[in-house]
Amino acid sequence: MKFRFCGDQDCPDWLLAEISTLSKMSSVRVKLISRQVLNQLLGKGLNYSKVQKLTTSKRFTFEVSDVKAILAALHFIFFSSAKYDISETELFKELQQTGLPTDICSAIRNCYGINKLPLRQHMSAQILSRPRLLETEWRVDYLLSSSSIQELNSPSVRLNLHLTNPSQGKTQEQLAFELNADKFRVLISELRAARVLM
Amino acid sequence: MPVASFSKEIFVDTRLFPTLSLELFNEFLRIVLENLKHGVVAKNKYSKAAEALKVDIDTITKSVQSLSEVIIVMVGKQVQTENDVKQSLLSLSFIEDHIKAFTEVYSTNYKDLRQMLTTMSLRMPHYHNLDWRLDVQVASRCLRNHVKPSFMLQLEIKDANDQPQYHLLESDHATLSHLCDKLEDALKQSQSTHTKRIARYTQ
Repeated sequence: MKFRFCGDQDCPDWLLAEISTLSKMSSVRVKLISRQVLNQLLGKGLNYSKVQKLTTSKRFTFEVSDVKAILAALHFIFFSSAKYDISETELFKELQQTGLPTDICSAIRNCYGINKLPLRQHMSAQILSRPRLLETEWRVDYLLSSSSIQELNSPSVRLNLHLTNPSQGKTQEQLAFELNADKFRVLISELRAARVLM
Repeated sequence: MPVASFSKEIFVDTRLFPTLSLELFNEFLRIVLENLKHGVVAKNKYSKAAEALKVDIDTITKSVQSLSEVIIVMVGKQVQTENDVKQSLLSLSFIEDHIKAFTEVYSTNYKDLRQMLTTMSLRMPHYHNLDWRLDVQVASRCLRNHVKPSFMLQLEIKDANDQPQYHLLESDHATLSHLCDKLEDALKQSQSTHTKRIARYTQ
């Protein structure tokens, strides 16, 4: 079956197999576990001991593999729905089609609705990127003379760019270079032309 | 039916064990497993044992090392059944009780030790992650109002010491789909009759 929250492709078989495990939980517990999963997706980390408490009860016992499966299924549902920009109501309808009980579907839908925007913002900050500019430092010098020319008398601009590359481990580097007045004028006009096109 | 055989140095260094009581032998086994799982203990921790047994620290260290080597050689050769373990240890002149205690400890820890040994073998740089994005170039310094789509890929590779290396690549649609076709071909080869025949023979 093709689902929109899987990007108009077939739902993965392992997810359909985990629907039955997920159906055994109560909707309140699903909501609390979803909150933990969303914390992990937003980069705040998963409190595993809380999840352990929520998955042990007198009525049903879950093994470690079941707990992992539940976390993986919820992780996939939230991540995939946010990736393909699915609305709450659409997600609700499609989860019902997979066979999940209605109360659990609405618990997942409510959690998703609250967190969809922060999730998409967090994910767009993690897009593959080249080094990004953090800060620009500049200084204008006036060169008086040097060992090759006695009287130079020309202005020069020194630029120091602070760059960071989140896709390669958030390393910070600095790029420093110098320009004379004409080159600097050319640089500025080219950048202004590019800015207009944006 | 793999049976392990040992070098002469191990024969020499395991001479201490038949003289020990069962308790002491179990202590030695415990220390050896600690060493294998968490790293070697410092030599001065053996001083108490050395005093109690009235031998010097070197002898104790060598005995511990030889027992570790015995275990590793046996795990490496996949010695699994009790009989094979017994036959391997007979050549070292171990006492019956010691052999029983050894077999018990060996079989409980066999899987963990085997996994540990596989992670310690030669490692090539291996794939870790592939990140991608689809860009469209709308204008450049020389040319305005054109549409040029391209894929940017970041291949993250981990080398033998688990240090990440990043390779940034650019590709157009045709190259990327050719790459995908070739990789799918390679995957399909693992289902071919030839590969299945080889897999059957090696197992």
